[in-house]
Amino acid sequence: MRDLQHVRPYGDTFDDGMVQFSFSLPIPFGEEAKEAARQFVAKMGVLEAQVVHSENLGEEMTFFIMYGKAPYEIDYTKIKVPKVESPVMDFYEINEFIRERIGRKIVVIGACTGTDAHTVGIDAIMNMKGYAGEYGLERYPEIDAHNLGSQVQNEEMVKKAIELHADAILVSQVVTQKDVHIPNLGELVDLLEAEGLRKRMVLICGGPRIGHELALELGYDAGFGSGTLAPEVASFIVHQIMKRDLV
Amino acid sequence: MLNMWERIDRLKVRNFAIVGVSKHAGKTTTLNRMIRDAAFCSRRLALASIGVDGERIDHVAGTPKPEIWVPTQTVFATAISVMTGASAPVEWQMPTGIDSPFGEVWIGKTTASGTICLAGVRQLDHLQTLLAMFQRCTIDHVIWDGALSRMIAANPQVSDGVMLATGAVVGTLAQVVHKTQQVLRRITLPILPERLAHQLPAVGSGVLIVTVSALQKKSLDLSNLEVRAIYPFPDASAFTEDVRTLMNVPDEECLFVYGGAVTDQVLRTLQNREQIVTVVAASPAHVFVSEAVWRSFARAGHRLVVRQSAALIGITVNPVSPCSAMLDRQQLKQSIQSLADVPVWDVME
Repeated sequence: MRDLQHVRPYGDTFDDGMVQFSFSLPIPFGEEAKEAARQFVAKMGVLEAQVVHSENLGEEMTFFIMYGKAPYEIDYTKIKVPKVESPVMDFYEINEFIRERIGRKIVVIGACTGTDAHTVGIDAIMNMKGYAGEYGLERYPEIDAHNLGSQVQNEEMVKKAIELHADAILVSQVVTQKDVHIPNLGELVDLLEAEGLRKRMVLICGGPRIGHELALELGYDAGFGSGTLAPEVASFIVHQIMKRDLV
Repeated sequence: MLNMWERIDRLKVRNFAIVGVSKHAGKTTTLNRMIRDAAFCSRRLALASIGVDGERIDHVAGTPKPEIWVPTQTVFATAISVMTGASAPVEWQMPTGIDSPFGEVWIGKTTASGTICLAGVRQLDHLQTLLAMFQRCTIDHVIWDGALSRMIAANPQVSDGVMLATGAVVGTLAQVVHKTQQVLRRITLPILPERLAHQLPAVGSGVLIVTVSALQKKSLDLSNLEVRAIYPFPDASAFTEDVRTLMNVPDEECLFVYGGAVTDQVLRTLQNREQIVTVVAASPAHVFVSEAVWRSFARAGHRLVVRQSAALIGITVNPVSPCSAMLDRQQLKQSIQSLADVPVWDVME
């Protein structure tokens, strides 16, 4: 029986605390660089920090891979991550649910907004061919899905939502350097609030650094991370439509 | 200088929002300070947050966050599931019907002092529901803790006051001052004179085009205007039709009253009119214009005003950033004080 109250990283043996780092420092390649990297990782509280690989990146930059032992442990039993509680249905069940319970086609629009041009996530959810054996929303006969593509401005999203009478908006944000996604996602919600549309829509954001907690802070109904498939998103939308009486 | 609650009393504010210029600007620290001071003057508070507050670690930056400590008999709204790490004993009063990924939001009341966690509320509609429920409880004030730099809690439909939080998280002193000034400009937009506002019907989410004439010649003051005719366009908005195509707008001074968002596009569309244009937004929470477009619009002699606004209670400054950067507290306070004629409090003092 594992002790889940005192969890430490596993390297070669249980509880050895071994962790790996990879990062670059803006200093010239050499022995001094390795020592700087070692000191840097040691400052993070890691014990026995060792450089196992370093490489000259040019332009006086050096890349490192390092190992070390983390002296910390986590109580796994106390971790609570909010998840979507609505049951996930399959392609056929979702279409039947819409036909029988909602009684009309639902309209979903999706896009990568702001300056983000990485459509891999939104395409996996929206495009007809789908991803990992699951059809995308465009293939669902009871869903009128519109993939608006990349670099769509928030004003354009709102405009389309009004024009198409959208029931749900999906926003994908893959580029998150310097938290650029946060003001952009927040502005869309505030625009919808100002137009009085927010309460009439299911609003979902997604991306590698997005979870339910951030989604909630931003005013979204849910936030889906990497690896989410179309049926999870569609199930959430249709259940929200019923729960909030948006039929 | 007035303390926070004296200032709130002077402005006759009952329900107010704490709005930040950015994430980590010190909203929750401000909330804690207000709760602490309220306990000294026996105010009964109701609290809710449009973000997630009271958790120990920020889920974006991974940095520690302040806990929310409340005295006994504090009313608050949250999803019960997020209270697992909280220490205050709570008597759960009633469900709100507000659903969230954390479960349904409930109204609770603490039966002893301790920490609480606030989450699950995220829409203006939710705040309106909660306001009605809070008003049935025995409380003196409702405080909405903001999230990131979002403005919805400052909407006059749910707040009659707003406290602005700014701080070192924005960057250098110059950057903090610049960002704060931008937000202040939005929060303190001029309000349409009452005499003129009373002559206008409710606009919902459409647009009203109102022709006006000056009572006294040569006066550009808004209070000098009188309504001549009102043309309602209930389906128009910043995102639908160009208002210029809706009617042959007379070549005279007009008010363009927007029920929904006022964006850059709205100002750009109207900027070239020869007569003075006054764009009237419903509130500062409805204004989404960039600095450059706004400046250009104003330089052309036009005006941007709001119909309603929550009173600015004051500004709190937080000289400490979660990335460990620290600004000189006196310099920060003085620089922010020079921006507006309202009290400025250092929440870390």
